[in-house]
Amino acid sequence: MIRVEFYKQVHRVRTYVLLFIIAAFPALLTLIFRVARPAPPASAEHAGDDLGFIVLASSSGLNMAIATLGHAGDVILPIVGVILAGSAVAEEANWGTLGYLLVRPVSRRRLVASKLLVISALMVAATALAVLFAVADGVVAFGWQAVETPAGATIPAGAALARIAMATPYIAWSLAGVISLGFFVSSVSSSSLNGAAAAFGLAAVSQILNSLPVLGDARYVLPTHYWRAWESLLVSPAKWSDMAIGAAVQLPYVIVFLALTWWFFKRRDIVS
Amino acid sequence: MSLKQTAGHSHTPDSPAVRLEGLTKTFAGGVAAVRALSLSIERGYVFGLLGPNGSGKTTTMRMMLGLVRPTAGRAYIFGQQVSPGHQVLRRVGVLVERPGFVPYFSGRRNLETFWRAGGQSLDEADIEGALRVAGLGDAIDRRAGDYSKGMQQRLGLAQALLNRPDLLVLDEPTVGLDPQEVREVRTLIRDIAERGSTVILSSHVLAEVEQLCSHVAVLDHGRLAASGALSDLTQAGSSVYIEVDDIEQAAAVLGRLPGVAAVSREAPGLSITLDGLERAAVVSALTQHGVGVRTITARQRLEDAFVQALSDEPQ
Repeated sequence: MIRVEFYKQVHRVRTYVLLFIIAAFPALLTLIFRVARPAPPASAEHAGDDLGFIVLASSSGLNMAIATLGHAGDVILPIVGVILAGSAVAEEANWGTLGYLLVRPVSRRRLVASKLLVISALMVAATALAVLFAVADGVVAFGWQAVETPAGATIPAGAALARIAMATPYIAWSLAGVISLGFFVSSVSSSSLNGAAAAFGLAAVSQILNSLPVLGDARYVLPTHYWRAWESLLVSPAKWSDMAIGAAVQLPYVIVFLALTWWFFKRRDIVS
Repeated sequence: MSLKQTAGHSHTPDSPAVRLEGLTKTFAGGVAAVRALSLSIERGYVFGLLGPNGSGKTTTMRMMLGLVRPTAGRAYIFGQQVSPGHQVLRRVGVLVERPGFVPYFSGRRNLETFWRAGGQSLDEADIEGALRVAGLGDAIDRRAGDYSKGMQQRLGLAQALLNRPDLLVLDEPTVGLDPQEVREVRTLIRDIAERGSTVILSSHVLAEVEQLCSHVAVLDHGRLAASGALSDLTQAGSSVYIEVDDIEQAAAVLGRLPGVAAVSREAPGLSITLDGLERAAVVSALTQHGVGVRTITARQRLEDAFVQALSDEPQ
């Protein structure tokens, strides 16, 4: 079943459209910075600046990559995730193939597990590709130099690349809560849009709430609050605490949504 | 009309192909789709499941296959209680309501991936036989999403036959097919039955059921209204078929005769619905008016039995 799921994903146009978006976004952003060539400000001026790495994007290839990854992680990768998760089970129901798979027979547990595993693998691959494209485009456009941090520190290029690599699995995992909701809604629906809309809605609402200081500490439990926590690896010295908390915050979302998925899907009447 | 009741269960090789025990389904909102349905379908039967729209045929089939959870009761296939994903389903071929395919795969790739999803290698599937049934020619390598309804239906049938099923469950298998394809599918069902497989067939086309089925059950509002051998059901009524030497004169005579409810042409004779009149009185009346009677047989068509079963069933 896992092989069949991979086969289905590899042989569909949608996968390549998503791949194109993942590749095109860093290229586009890098091109804009390359053409506009904004002068990098003195690092000291931007200590603690909310704009963070984006204003330092043209300082070096890896600075460009970090700036690109920030936006990819906030928008592009979540879009990829909600599309994959929202359609996972619902599109089988929509095509009329779900019932035939279950009578083949593929057990409900195996079907859910296979789809979840394939989505997870694709999201890890999508994140890795986003990092790869961001780094490659950045280095081609702005060269291989040390990274300048918003606090004014400098990190050697090799060390910075290693930290970006370490951030990659975190970026992928930080989307898990939102994606789990999409997967849950997909498992009880016959329309791919429902799961995608629910997951995207959660991400959007969470982002908006996260921007409201009036919510105070309550923002720390929002699923998107720690999406950029990986950037704390790119200060000197690197800080791991935000990433650890961010990773932990995803857990209850994942556990609750996947438990709901299993509870409802196990009892779902397949009538289409 | 005989109502086949079931009792107890065993796991012997002689178990019926399908046994339903008090199967009940009430959907959310209190809609009772199937009510305490008990039924036994012996191996080798070509079994027709009849009933008006909304009578519970498809829901019954889905419960039988573990797709819909019964509110109460149990379904057994070859003596094994069916639960979602039960391995006994490997012996079952299914085409329920509408065929389903991955639209961006070709017909051939759909058959292959469907089979592989079950964890078996293609060597174990009757791919060649299925492709023969599908009869799609070069179109088998085109996108299934571009197929006509008839082509999808044939591919669905082919998919149902991949595992050389011992039990074939077909819900309206000839919907969307042209007359030639309908004939081919009916021939196919006969061939499958002759090989010893059991076939459960739901159809709105009573003539199709009459042609194919050895036994039928009539469902109405989720209840079993009638069940038994087709021959028993169609012989038990008050209709007769008559062939005479002067069909116009016979129709005129019978039209005026008390105790005859209806007369209709059914070449080369007449179909007569009696209302309390004996067959001997029909012959007597015709001969008195100079009409020669060649043959007269008691007969009830499935349609009559179907209507009768529904009218007998308390609502």
